[in-house]
Amino acid sequence: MNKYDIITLKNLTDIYEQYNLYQGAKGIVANVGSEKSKILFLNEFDVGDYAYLEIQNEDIEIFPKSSKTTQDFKQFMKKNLNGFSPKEKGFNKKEVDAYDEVELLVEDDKYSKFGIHKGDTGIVVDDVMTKSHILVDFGKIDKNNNYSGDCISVNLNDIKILNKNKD
Amino acid sequence: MSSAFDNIVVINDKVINNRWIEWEHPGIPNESGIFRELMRMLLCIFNHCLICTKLDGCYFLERKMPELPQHNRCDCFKIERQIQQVQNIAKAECDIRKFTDYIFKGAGGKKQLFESWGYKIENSQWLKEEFENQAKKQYITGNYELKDLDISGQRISIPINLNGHYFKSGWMVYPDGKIKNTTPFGGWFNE
Repeated sequence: MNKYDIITLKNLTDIYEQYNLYQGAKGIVANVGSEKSKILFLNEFDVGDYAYLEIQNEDIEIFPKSSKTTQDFKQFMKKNLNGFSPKEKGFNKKEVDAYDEVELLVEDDKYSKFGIHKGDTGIVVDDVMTKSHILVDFGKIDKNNNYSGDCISVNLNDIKILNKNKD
Repeated sequence: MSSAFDNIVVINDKVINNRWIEWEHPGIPNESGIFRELMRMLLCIFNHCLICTKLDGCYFLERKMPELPQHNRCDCFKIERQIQQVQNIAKAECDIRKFTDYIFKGAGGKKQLFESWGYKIENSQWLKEEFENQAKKQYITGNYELKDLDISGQRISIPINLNGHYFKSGWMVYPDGKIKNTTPFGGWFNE
């Protein structure tokens, strides 16, 4: 294993679960150790979120190397990772799923300009967030078939879950 | 073999250049796969513009594309794509749960609307496929409207016709010609 190798989490132990890691989580080797390595994990469900943890080498699997793309990637990582000081932490906990019903908790221009106000309810559109912002469909039809609302990005801190969608 | 005339269409008696482009953010590989996926996520962590990284690899009509540049010191650029490439690669995806777990669960009053048109939860698979077929055709003919653009991505509105009922549906634009349904019903067209 080498620095900047791409890895996936092969064994999800209780310890890793405490850091909200998931099976198959992808990451980059930041520092190689003989038994444990420092890994920068990237959260596919909350783009922009990361985990930076020491992982047993036996619990990770190196992604198959290719040629030029690997070199370009390593150059990029060398350039950017040196100036980046990640905090040792896990992923943000995933609390919201697609099709959960949520309620907007705040009155804010960034929402009201779309006609969405505190107390409005909507349905989460997708499982994937970006920087803890989730897409919610607040669109509604009244009994006269008039449509109101919009499908907008909402900060996770500005909503609460009313009903979890059960598959 | 493609030619410049492939992009010429006549809409409402006007001759229009229906040129397609791909949005490019420097540093993100063009080939789809794990490297592109990782680069997007890394650029977000390294504080690159979230909107631009979301737009990377997305296909738009040049006359219906997000504003370029998006911000000061925006390094993004556009690459021309041939209409045949867009037609070959375009794909519309609609999660069946948009009907089984959303429309027909009653949220937002949309269940009554669809039921008034004669549809029930049992029609979800058919509705999913119908939405995908119609949306793909409309997208590749350029019949869409730009909606909101933010860190979640660029949404577009696409017209759907179910047995003479015309309405807007919401879709998110993804790289490589993919669009994904965000909401089956996003409002009416002014008739």
